[in-house]
Amino acid sequence: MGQFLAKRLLQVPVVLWVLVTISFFMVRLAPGGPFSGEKRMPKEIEQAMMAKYHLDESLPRQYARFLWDLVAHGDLGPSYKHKTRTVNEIIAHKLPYSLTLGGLATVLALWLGLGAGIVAGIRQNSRFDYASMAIAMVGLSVPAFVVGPLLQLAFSMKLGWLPVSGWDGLGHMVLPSLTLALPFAARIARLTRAGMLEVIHQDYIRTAWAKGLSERVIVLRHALRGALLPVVSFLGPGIAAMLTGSLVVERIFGIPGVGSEFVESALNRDYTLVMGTVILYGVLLVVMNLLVDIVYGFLDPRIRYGA
Amino acid sequence: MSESAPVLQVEDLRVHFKTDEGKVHAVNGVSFHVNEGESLAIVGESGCGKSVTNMAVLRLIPMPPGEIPTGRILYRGRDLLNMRNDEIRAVRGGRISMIFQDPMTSLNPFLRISRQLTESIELHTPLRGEAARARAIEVLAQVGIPEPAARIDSYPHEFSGGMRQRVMIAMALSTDPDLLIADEPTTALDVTIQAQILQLIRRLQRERGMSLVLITHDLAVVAGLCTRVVVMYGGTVVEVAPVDDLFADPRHPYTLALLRSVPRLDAPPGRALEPIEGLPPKLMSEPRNCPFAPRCRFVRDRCLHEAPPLEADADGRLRACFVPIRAGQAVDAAEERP
Amino acid sequence: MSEPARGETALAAAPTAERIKGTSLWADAWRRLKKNRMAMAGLWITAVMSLLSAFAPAIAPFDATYKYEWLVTRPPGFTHPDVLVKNELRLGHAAGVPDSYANARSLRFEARDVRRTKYRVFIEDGRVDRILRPGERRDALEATGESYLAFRRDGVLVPLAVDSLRSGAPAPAALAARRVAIVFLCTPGEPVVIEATQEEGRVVSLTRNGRPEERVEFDGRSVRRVLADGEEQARTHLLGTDGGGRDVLSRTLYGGRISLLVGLVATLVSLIIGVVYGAVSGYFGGWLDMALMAIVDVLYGIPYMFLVILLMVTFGRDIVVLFVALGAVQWLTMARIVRGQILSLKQKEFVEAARMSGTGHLGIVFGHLIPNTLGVVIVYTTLTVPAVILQESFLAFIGLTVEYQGRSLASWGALVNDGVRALSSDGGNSWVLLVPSLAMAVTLFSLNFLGDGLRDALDPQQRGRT
Ligand SMILES: Nc1ncnc2c1ncn2[C@@H]1O[C@H](COP(=O)(O)OP(=O)(O)OP(=O)(O)O)[C@@H](O)[C@H]1O
Ligand SMILES: [Mg+2]
Repeated sequence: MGQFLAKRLLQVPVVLWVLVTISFFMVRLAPGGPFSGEKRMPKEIEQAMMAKYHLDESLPRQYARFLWDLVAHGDLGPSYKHKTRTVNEIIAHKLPYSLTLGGLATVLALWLGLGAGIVAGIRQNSRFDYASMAIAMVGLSVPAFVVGPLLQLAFSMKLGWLPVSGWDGLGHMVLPSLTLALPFAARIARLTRAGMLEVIHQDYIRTAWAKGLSERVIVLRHALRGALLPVVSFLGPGIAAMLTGSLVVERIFGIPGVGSEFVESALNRDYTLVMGTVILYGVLLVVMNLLVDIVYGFLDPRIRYGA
Repeated sequence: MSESAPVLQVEDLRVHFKTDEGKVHAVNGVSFHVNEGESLAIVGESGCGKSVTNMAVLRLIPMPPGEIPTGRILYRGRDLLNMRNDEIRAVRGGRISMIFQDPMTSLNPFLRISRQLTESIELHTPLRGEAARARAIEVLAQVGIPEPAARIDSYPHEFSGGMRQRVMIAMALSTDPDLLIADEPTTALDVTIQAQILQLIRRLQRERGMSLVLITHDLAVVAGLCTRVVVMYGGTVVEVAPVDDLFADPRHPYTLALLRSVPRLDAPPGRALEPIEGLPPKLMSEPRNCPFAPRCRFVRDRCLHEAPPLEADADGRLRACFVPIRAGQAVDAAEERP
Repeated sequence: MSEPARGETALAAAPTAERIKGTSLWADAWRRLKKNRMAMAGLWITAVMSLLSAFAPAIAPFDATYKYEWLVTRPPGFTHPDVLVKNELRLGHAAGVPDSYANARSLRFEARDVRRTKYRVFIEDGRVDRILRPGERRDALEATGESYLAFRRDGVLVPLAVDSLRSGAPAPAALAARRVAIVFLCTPGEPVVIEATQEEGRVVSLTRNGRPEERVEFDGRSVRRVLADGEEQARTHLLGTDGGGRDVLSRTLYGGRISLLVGLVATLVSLIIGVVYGAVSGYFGGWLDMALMAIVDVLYGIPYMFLVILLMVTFGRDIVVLFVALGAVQWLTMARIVRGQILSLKQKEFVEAARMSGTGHLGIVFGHLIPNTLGVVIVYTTLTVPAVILQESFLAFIGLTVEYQGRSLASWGALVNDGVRALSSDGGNSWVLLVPSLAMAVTLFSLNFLGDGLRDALDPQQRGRT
C-alpha cells in the first residue's frame, strides 16, 4: 500500500503541471489577445493594460511568473473581465455552492446506484432487475440537460412541489442534485450489478454457501467487497464526469457555482478565469482520485499488501 | 453391507440444467449410500456428474438453471431436499462439510483467514469470540499450518496453494462434521503436495471417525484411501464395489476400461495403457440406452434400446450392465485386440 | 478474420487452425448476438437512424434552416400551405406567388382580411400590468388569432402564440424578463376566398368572394390553403415547428447528421491514436511500455472536457477542432485496452511463427496483432460513439455549437438546448424539446445496448461487465 500510494502521490504534481502547462500555452497561443473582443481602445490604454497583466513580457517569462505565483502563493491572477476581482476571490466565493451540489449528488448516486445494483445482481432476471436496468439505461442515454428541464417542468411548474431554480435551502437542492446524480447512479447500478453477478459465481461464494451462512451474510460480508471494486475504479472518471455535468446542471437550475461561472467566462473569453477553473477542477480531480485509490487499497488486501 | 444405518443415502437423484443449447441431463437416477465412518470414493471421467451429485447433497446447485426433478437425499433419515432453509443451513458446514477442487479460488481473497474460520465456528458451535479464535488456531495446527497463531490473520494470497487447501480442510473440520465431501481436493496441487494433503485427510478422518466421500479421477488415490468405490458414467452409477474387489475383478466394461487407461503398479509388465476410445455422452436427452454403449467393446443389441438398471450380482456386488464381465474374461478381452 | 496476413508466406508456419478458430469465433459471436433481442433492436435502430441521418437532405420534408416566421411553435401534425402569398395581389402586376405555384395557371386560397389592431401591453415584474388599445384601456385581451408578433422594447421580434392576456396574469415567458413590450395583434378578420389566374407570372384575373377586384389585400399569415389548378397542395409539419418557425422533424434529421458525424469521426480519431499507441506500448514492452503507460496514467488525471472547452474557446468551434479535441479525449481507454490485448497475444505461437519467417515489427503489429484485437476494439468503439455524441451535445448545450466555415451547425444537443430555452411554463410547446431529445436518447440507447450485446457476444467471459 505504501509503495502504491507513494507512486500515486508522485503522479499528482506531474498531472497538475501538465494540466497547467497545456492550458497556459493553449490560452497564450490562441489567435487574438485577451482584449481583442472588446471595444476598440486607445493604443496607450491597451499598452497599459498589457503591462498591468504582464502580457508585454516574453512568453517564457509569463509562464514562469504564472507558475511561480501559482505554486508559491496559490495565486491564479486577475480576472480579465471582472476587472476588480481576482480569480481566487471569484472561485472562493462560488466554490461552496458547487461543492454542496457535488457532494449531495455523489451521496445520492452512490445510494441509488449501489442499492439498485446489489438487489438487481442478487435477483438476476427478476422484475426488479429488468426495471432497474431499463431505468439505468435511460439514465445513461438521456443527458442531464434533458432530464433537468423535464424535472423542472414536472415537479416545479406542473405540480409546484419544488422551486424551479436558485439555491436557497434544501428544497432548491433536490432537483439539481437528482439531475446531476442520475447518470452516475445509472453507471454505478450497472457496475454493481455486473460486479455482483461476477462475484456470486466465484468459487469462494460457493464455499460460503457450503458453510451454511445466510444469504444476507454472504452478500454483505463475502460478495459486496469484490463487487464494489469496479465501482470504486469508476469513481475516478466518474467524479471527472460529475464535475463536467455540474456545468450544465448549475446552468439549468441557476445555481451561482463555479460551473456556471466557468461557462460564462468561457463564452466571454475571460482566459484567466477559465484557466483558474480548469486548474481548480484538476486539483479536485487529482485529490478525489487519490482518495479513490486509498479506498481501493482498503477494500482489496492484495493491493494493500502490495501483492 | 454395514449393519448400522447409513449416514447419507442418495436415492434416484436426477439433476437437469436448462441451457441455451437445451436441457443437460447431468445426473440421471443416481443412488448410493455412505456408511458411518467409511470412506467412499466416487470416480469417473470428467463431466460424468460427480460434482453435481455432491453439490446436490448440500443443495448447492444454482436454481435456475438447475432443477432436481426426482430424488431423495437422506441424511440420518431426513430428506435434505425437503428441509427448510434454516435446517439445511445447519447441515451445511455443520454436519456435512465440503472441500472444493481449487484452493486458489475457494477462499475469499478479501477476508482474513481468521474471519473465514471463525464465522463457520460461531455459526455451528457454541464457541464465540476468543474461544472461536482459539478453536480456529487449534484446527490450523491440526492441518499442519506452522505458527498458526501468527498466521491466522493473514489473507489467502499470503499462502501457497497447498497451504490454502490445508486452510480449506481446517475450515471444513472446525465444526466437527459427520461427513466430509472432498471434491477432487488435490487436482489443482503439485504432486508432492497432493500426497501430503491426502495423507492429512486420511489421518483426520480416521482420528475423528468421520465419514468421507472423496471425488477423484485418480484411481491410485482410491486404492490407498477408500474402502468402497462408486463408479459413475454419463450421469449414472455403473458399478459399486469394495475397493479391492473392484481392482481385482471389475464387472462393468467402463470400470475395466478405466482401470486399463491408467498406469498401475500391479499390472503385468509390458502392458500398454489403453485410452478409452470415443467421447463421453453429451447428456442432452433422457438416456434410453446404456450410456456407455457407444464406446463399449462388449455392446449387445439390447444395450442400445434399454438402460440397464443397477442390480446386485449373486455375491451382492452392484453393477448396471446386461453383459457383466466375469472374472478372467477381462484378460481374454484384452488379448482379443489386434 | 483473426488470422489475416494475406499473401504472406510467413504464414506457412502459422497453424491454419488459427484461421478456422477465427471464423467460427465470429460466427459464434454473431449467433450469440442474434439471440440478444435488445442488442438486435439496438442494431436495427442504429442502422435506421444512421440511414435517416445520412439521407436527411432527401428525406427531410422541409428546409431545416428556413424560418416560417408566421408559423412559430405549431404543434405536431400542423398542416400549412408551405407558402407566403404576397399580402397584395393586383391585376396586371407580378403574381407574387411562391415558386411551387409558378407554373399553376390559377390559384385559389382562403385568407383573412387585413385588419390589424395595435395593442400596447405593459409588463411589470413578469406580470401583465396594463393593456392599452389606442384610446381605451382593457383588462383582458381575448383573441382566436393565429399569431402574435411582439416587439420587445429592445427591438427584438419575438413570435408568440398566446391566445389571451389578462391584467395581473403572468406575462408570456419570452416577454417576462422585459419591462415593457408592445404587442401587435392580428385580430381575426372575415375569411375571404381569393381566386387569381396568372399568365406568364402576371395576374390576369382576380376575384374576392366571387366578385372581380382590381386589387386584393389580405393577411398573408393567415392563408389557410392554396389550391393550384384545382389541386390541393398542403404540407404537414409532422412534428410541429419550433419557436423560430422551423420544421422540427427536418431539424432533427439534419441534427442527427451532425451528431452522428461528430460521434463517428471523433471516435475514429480516438481509435487510430489509441490502437497504434496501445499496440506499440504492448508489443515493444519494457521501458517504452512503462513510459507510454505512465503518460496515459498522468493524462487520465486531467479533467478533459474542460480542456476541450478551453480549446474551443481559444481555437474556435470549427468542426475539425471538435473532431480532434473529442478524439484526443477518448483515446486513453482504447490504448489501455489494446495494450492489454497485445500483451497477451504476443505470447502466442503465430506471432513467433511470423517472426521466425522474417516479418518485421511493423508487419507483426499491423498484420497480426492488431487484427486480432478487433473484437474488443469493435466493442469499445460501439460504446465510444454514444459517449462522444453525448459530449458534443453537452458542448452544444452550454453554447459551444459546432461551426463549419463560420456557419453554426445545429446538432441534437443544440436543438435540445433550443427546446429547453423555449420551453414554456405550462410545457405547451414541449415537442420542440422532446423530439430531438427522444431522437438522441433512442440513438444513444440503441448504441449502448448494441455495445453491451457485442461485448457479451464477442467475449462471453466478460459477460455483464460494464
Ligand atoms: N451450472 C450448470 N449449467 C449447465 N450444465 C452444468 C452446470 N453444472 C454442471 N453442468 C453439467 O453437468 C455435467 C456434470 O458436471 P460435473 O461438474 O458434475 O462433472 P464432474 O464429474 O464433476 O467432472 P470433473 O471431473 O471435470 O469435475 C457436465 O456435463 C456439465 O456440463
Ligand atoms: Mg467436478
